[in-house]
Amino acid sequence: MEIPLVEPVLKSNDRLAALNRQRLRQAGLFTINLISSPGAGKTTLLEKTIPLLRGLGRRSAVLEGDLFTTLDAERIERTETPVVQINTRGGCHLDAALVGEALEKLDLRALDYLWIENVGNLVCPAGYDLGEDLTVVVLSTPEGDDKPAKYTPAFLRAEAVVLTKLDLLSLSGMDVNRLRQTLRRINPQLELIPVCARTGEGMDRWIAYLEQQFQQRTAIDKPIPQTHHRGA
Amino acid sequence: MHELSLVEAIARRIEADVAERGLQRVQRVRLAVGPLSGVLPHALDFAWRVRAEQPGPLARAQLCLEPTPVRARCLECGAQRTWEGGARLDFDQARAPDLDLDHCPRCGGGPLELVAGQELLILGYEAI
Ligand SMILES: Nc1nc2c(ncn2[C@@H]2O[C@H](COP(=O)(O)OP(=O)(O)OP(=O)(O)O)[C@@H](O)[C@H]2O)c(=O)[nH]1
Ligand SMILES: [Mg+2]
Ligand SMILES: [Zn+2]
Repeated sequence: MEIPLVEPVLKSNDRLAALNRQRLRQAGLFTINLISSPGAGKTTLLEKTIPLLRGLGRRSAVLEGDLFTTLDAERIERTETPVVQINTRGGCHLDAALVGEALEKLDLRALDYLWIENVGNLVCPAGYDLGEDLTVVVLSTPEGDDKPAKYTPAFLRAEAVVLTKLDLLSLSGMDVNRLRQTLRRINPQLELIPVCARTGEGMDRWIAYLEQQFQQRTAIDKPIPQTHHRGA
Repeated sequence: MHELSLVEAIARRIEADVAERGLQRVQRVRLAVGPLSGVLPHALDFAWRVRAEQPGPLARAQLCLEPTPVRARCLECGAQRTWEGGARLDFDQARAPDLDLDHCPRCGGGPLELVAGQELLILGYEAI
């Protein structure tokens, strides 16, 4: 007997992701899912980005997806940022259920930005909606300009690509123009933001992009909270 | 290797449906896999064969993967463009060397919007 049963394999993940999204938006949070291959520079980018946002009065928290260790979470903690470790126990990606559980451990109302550092992997995370507002692929110059053609689903999912390790550009053989062309073919709307987390180059444009997206996406446009040392 | 967790999701969904309908044994499960789904058919196949060794209604059931084309629609003129599987769009590698959503071959404008090719869908199953 032939039984028709047409439904997405990841339907239950998508449903949980929609719940996460609703909950995060209601709390006025702007959520970013960071995807990259291992070692591209996600944690370093966060270590540099979060203090810059704090300077603008924006409060961040981080969900750290990691296979087994707490190393990245410890690095984030040193920036005095709330962090929740999500160990996937060898799982190659975060899913919406893991993120939903982790949200229980945060005071969402006290936050503006929620960062999700996905497990270092350019393939598997691409299929899993977590409930984020923005997906950002972090691509480092030594990885080469052919990555969007080889790992297309991640770049289809993303709204922006942060090209990191600009200080290594001349050593890497990465052709930024070729990268730009490939990205345009695959995802014409994608934003390409070159930065160097080490020297701070390009970070101003990255922050400006985030703030613009933040204001566009958060349903209730919260005013920037005033900190005391800023005076009235 | 998220194919393992995908297979588990498929297996549980089918097992629940089989139990609900009071069926006994599944012979075949049909799945639509888009070239841009990020799924490696070989890995999915392998994970399925491991799962189908377990006792239960899915024991020795086959998994049939039905490849789907990539299709995009021009946002300017509405023309559809299709990339079939095979050499030009390497299904196994989930690569899309040919994909171009920036230029419409009909009107020269663009961009194009993907309408198919990213899906990973259970289509149905055969059971007794
Ligand atoms: N030269 C240079 N090195 C960088 C830069 N950003 C990060 N790195 C180095 O790259 C290595 C990996 O950086 P991480 O930030 O740990 O990368 P990650 O993506 O978080 O890695 P996983 O979480 O393990 O996938 C570290 O040794 C960093 O110091 C940069 O802009 N320039
Ligand atoms: Mg990291
Ligand atoms: Zn057109």
